[in-house]
Amino acid sequence: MPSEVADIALMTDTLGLRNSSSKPAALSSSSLVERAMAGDPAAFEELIDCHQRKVLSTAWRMLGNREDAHDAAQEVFLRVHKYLGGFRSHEDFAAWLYRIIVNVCRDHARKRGPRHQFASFESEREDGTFETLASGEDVEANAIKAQQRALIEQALDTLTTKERAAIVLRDLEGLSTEEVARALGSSQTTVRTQISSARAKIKQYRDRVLKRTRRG
Amino acid sequence: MKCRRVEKLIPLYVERDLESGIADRISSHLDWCGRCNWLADEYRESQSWLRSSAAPEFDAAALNAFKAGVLSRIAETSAKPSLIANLLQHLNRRQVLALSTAVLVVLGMVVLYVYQMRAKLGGPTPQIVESSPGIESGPAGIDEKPIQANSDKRRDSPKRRVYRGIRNSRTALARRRAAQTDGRDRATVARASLPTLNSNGFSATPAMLRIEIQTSDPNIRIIWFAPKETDSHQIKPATD
Repeated sequence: MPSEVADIALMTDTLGLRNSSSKPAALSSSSLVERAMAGDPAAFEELIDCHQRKVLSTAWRMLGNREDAHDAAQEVFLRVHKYLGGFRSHEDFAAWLYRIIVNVCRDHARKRGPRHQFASFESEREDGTFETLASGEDVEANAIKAQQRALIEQALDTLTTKERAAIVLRDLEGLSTEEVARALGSSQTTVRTQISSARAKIKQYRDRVLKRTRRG
Repeated sequence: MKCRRVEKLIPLYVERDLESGIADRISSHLDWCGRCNWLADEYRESQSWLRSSAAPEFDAAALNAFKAGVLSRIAETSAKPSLIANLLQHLNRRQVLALSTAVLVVLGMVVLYVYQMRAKLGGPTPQIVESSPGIESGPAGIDEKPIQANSDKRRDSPKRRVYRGIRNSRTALARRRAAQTDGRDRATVARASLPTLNSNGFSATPAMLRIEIQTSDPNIRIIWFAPKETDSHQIKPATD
């Protein structure tokens, strides 16, 4: 678990969300943004390279399946391209990007109507080339991991859209409450309430699963 | 701090989402309360379980395909210029200037026209009508003052309009009652006192000059009587 937390911290560092160690990354990112704003297509491509992983994974976690995440991530970059002219260079690009991701995912969730069944990472992996298995990994361990992931996705599915967005950004993307509040356009108090409720629901779901497992 | 309150705050406490003062109080509560301590451990495990789902990984080929897809969509979008951009492409600077001026002029005319229409329709300007009034002047005791257009314009608030409506309906009722109690036939009275009006809305009887003004409010009709011999500048409303 600590390694995953470190991974999340590393990912947020590359987005310039942490102040201590991310200064060079933030600086390069800001110069890249400025070049892209000036209309440099190569800079925009670099911008996609830098952020596509993050955008895809966040969208996937928010929407719960590959197709929607893929469409949403594309829409995110289209909006970035469209509204980059309106971005103020002194602002935090990562926070701005997160706001777009949240809005696009919300729109997608609204469009698709009632939430459909989550496809597990494993099934996504089977039917697409989107995610690949690291070579040499133990098949059994992977199966256990995949099962656990599916359970976690089902647990996330019990949350409302807002709770899900808050918990994904706070607990899985590793943003601070303040950053989450900015990305969601809510107050910190509202975000805390959503996070608290989401954590309680996830715990309840996990408890139910554990009970069922013990009985079975 | 009571257990009930701590239980509510534990989901935030386990991830250090609380202010330090509250977090310290919860910590000291957890030191002696076994049940809440157990609950905090449960939440910690649940959070670890949630985080055990690592971020999905994407291989280079998939990412390249994704990037190509984004770039092609951007190219499609920028290849399809908007209608205005399309129009502007075919016009030079002078034409654009002329077109925008023409559009501004047309817009200005439309605004003027709308403004005039609204002034015509909305204004409570009294108008002189040539129709037969049907109702005689009010009985004695009912105070009827001529309505001035300008003061109405200034004071035409919704509250005032409601008040005026009530006042007018009361006046009309009083008139009707008075006419009934008098036992007079209103039509006869109107015929007797009102010969045909000329185009200016003035009518002349042998004794009196009658001026009838219909305001925009159908309930308000202003009727002036004046001695025929008097000068038009000295016309005063009838008090009878």
